[in-house]
Amino acid sequence: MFDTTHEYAGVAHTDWAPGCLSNVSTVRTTSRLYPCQSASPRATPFYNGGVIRQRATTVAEWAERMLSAEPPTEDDVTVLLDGRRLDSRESIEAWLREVEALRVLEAATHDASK
Amino acid sequence: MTLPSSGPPLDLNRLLEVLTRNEVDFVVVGGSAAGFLGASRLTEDADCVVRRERANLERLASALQELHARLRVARMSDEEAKALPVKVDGMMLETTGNSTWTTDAGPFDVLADLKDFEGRSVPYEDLLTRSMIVRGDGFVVHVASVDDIIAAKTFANRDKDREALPELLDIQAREHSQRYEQYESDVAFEVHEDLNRDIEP
Repeated sequence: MFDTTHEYAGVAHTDWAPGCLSNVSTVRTTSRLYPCQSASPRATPFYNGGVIRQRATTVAEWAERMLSAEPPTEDDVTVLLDGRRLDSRESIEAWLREVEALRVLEAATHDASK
Repeated sequence: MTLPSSGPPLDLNRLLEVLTRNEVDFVVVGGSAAGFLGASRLTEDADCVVRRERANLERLASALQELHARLRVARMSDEEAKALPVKVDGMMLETTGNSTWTTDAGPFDVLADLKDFEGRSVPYEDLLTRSMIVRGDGFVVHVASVDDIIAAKTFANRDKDREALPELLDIQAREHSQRYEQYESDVAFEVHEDLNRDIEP
């Protein structure tokens, strides 16, 4: 048994949630109303942790299970804001040179503004 | 095909604890977030969308340094990646959209945003308003809503995303069902209250 605390639109609500996420409490933080929600201050929070209650493991169990997950795949690579993919040593080295140039420029701008 | 590098396995507790201690503003997304919401499918890395503010990126850089982060690169071993002259700081992180790292706490992806069903950017601030807080041992983190995770995985449409979607849709259906039941309960309560008020002398 453990305690979960839910908060919705500033209204805190505590209940018991047996069987799930034993070392975790959840708080709904959305600040806006969904179409099916009531604005009544008497209303209890719309999310009562039921999904977690039904499916769940503890955070510790979840973390332990993920120790046995497969490593990432090749499509997971760093992508720059301009869309370039850093998928080779050459592309990384070119990017690092650009970043270093930006650092020098920022430092020079900073010094000039003093 | 998986990467040839063989870094440490994902230690989610440690990763989230370090990010929290360094006061990084972030929302957990992807498979790790799905796990917190009740999904059973294992994820191979931790994904987070971070606030794209320079000071926050500097805090993230501190966390990455503490975790001895090195870039994760296809066809490059972890040892080769460690040898790259990468200096992690806010400036460097500012130039990246999505960056992939191998850390002492396992694979970690830093994202600039999520995508919605149409591929439009959903930034940190929007994800935060719909997020759920999860408190664990040593960390308090925001976890993206199941709606946002479904939208991103639908748009990404990779094999692993398609595999994860049925369970996420099931979780979403349960959540929506509970919201509707709560709504009905609220309406019944309010009608009852109004009736009581009307008949009071």
